[in-house]
Amino acid sequence: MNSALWIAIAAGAIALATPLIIAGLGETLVERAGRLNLGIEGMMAMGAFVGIWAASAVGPWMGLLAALAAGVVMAAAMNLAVYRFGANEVVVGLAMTILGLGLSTYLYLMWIPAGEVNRSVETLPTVSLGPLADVPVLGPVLFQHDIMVYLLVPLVLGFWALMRHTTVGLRIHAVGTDPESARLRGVRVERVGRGTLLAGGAMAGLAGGVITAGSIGSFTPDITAGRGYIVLAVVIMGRLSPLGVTGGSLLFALFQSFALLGQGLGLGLPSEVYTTLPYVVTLVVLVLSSRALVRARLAPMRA
Amino acid sequence: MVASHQETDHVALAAWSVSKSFGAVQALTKVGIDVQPGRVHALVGENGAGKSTLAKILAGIQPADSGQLLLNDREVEISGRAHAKSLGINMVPQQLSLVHDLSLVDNLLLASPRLRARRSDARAALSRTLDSAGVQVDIDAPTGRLGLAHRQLGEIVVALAEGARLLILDEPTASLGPHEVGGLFAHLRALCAQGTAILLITHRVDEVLTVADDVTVLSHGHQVFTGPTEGLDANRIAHLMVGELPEAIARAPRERGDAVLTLTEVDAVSDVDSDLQQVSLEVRRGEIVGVAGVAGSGQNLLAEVAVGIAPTQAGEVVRAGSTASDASGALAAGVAWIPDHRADAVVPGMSVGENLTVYAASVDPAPRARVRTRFSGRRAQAVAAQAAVLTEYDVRPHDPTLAAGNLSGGNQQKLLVARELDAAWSAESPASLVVANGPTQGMDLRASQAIRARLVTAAERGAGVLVASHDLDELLDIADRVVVLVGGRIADDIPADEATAARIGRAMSGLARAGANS
Repeated sequence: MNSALWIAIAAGAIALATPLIIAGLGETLVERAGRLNLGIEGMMAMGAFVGIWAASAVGPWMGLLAALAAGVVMAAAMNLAVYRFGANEVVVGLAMTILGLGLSTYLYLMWIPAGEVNRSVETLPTVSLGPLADVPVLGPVLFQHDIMVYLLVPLVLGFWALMRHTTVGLRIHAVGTDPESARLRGVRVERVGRGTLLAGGAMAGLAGGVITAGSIGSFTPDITAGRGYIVLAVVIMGRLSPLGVTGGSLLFALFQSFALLGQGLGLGLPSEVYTTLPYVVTLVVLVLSSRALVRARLAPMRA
Repeated sequence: MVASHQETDHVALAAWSVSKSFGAVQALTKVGIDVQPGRVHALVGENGAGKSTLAKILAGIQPADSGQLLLNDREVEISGRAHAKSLGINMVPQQLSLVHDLSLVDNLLLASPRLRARRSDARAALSRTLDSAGVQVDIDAPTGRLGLAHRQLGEIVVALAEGARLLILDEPTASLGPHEVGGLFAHLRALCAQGTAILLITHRVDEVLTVADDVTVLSHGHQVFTGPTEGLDANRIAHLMVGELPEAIARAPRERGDAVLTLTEVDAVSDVDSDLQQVSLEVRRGEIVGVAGVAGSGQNLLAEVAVGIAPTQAGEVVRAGSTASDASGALAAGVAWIPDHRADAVVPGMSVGENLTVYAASVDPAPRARVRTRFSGRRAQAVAAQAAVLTEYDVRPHDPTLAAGNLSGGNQQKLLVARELDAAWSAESPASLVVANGPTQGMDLRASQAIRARLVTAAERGAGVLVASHDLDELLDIADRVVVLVGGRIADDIPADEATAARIGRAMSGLARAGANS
């Protein structure tokens, strides 16, 4: 009886997972190189605003490009602070998050002063994949999305191939696990670190743009709602692998979609249960997956 | 990437009148060297004589202040490591440079300018090099899982596959057992036969005589000898390196006390070493027990079990009357521990003085009460007392406020010895058990001798000493008994008066047991 609702929940999960996967792929590179970008939330927020602002003038595709550029600029600032001025990466990352959230809100209020009606822009078109879209259940869940969702497939595979089958991937891995040897082998450690953070920033900015210019069509302050932090959790949950990150993002998004739509199922649960569910599930999976990881790492050290 | 077209190219590299200083320290003064294709050229000298500095200049890692380099008789400026590599000059650094998580294949691809990781090409290039050098190494396993000897060979193979025609090896034998050193040298000779030039940095005189065609001796940054090895003997080379040799350690009989370490039928398991099986061993106060064995026969595990930081599966370990098996229990029992990786024991980011007193930070009151308190007075006094210990143990510079990571490897080792044998304990209760695993590896003659003398002193003060070493001469020098491990079992237990290198060597290769049975 509720099959239509379940289909909507599953389809919604894929849409909600899209920005998480995009930002998560970027953060995978960053963490593989042994670095950490705690500024994702702020970069996503800036990407979200810059994306919608540019999209209102020159269309959704240019909006996404502008969002990506916003992330790169913030990552470059972070690189400058860390490498040039020797600042602590964690502190700078958190500062970037605070800055991104504040600045995006400020710029939004300059653009649309309080009291005026928010602006809505045209988003990426939804593309139904011909006959596939008509397959029962699978059709609406998988094949009736905006084009960004389909682009995820080559994107995830591309990141997987980058890590596995390119010298760039090898260098990132080498720098993240054994920087001293990597340097002796002729790898420019700092360049790899800077480069991965720029890529991570680009992906975080793009993820923000995908939320606004890609699917919602408008911006509101704090629209990222902590998703940047969820990305950090998902990357660890996915063991720094592009496929793992995709799986983790889908899991979180499924519960979030359930939280948004599941109240219609009439299970009689308080609404707080629905809203906390995705975070609780993420936390539980994170603890379980890192326990196995920590145990494997500690085994040789146990006395 | 693969220098098959260079197969016939030979590289001869010479340096003339090279000088280099670091701040006020003159590391090299007008030094020359001439490395010829098809020959092994040994570069010898004490720690700090300037060997590594000269090697880094030849490999393009550091520029010289003055002097000139000649490549195949033509003057050349080497602008950096990559440039040196393109000229066919490659250096294998002492700490090795293979990325642990990656296989040899992937390590070779790391520096490749192409985007795509062509593993099949890299694998082919490596196999070809392996074949021509007659080496067998697993090229697909992460290099961190290879034994040290294989990692060393792997490093050489990767350098050759990158097109090296002149190899600079910085102390390649420092952490290898005698067996593995022999294997490495055989491979080096094979490479020479194909026209590769090899510059071998070492401070071991016996290695010079075994493998080198030419030798250059540095002393305090000056070149004191260069020429063919032919006609030189060990004493002459040692004399050139260090001047007068320190006297051999006198063997005075020591009084034996009660047992301070007793292992009874101990089994233990390790991922990186042979499992211990039914090992029983007793070390008494005043006694020095040596542990010999081919690398990976269980010496490392035995040392860790003796200290109490590796768990046992069965059997009983009693150290100084205590069966506590954790680091702070060992400290409370008076166990001094010199591990084979000094990185496990010296904290590079802390000052030298803090490294001496680090045990005072123990959270358990029992070890804290035991550790020495003489550094806990007023700051100035404490620093002076620490400086005195550093001077006594010849840790250079004698500055307790310097970060330990800034000391050279040899001086870090001396620092570790100073703490474990002396600074950590109060005068009333010195260490009761000393466990040392390769205490002199990577040290020059004089410093090694000094450390051995310290171990003997510790035994004279009433400590039981268990020392594992790859250097058989070291064991013959100081041990009262040598136990030989083969595959994690004690294969032989040889008293000092019967111990000879030949007898120990036979036992190490597993022949003693067979001989006893027949």
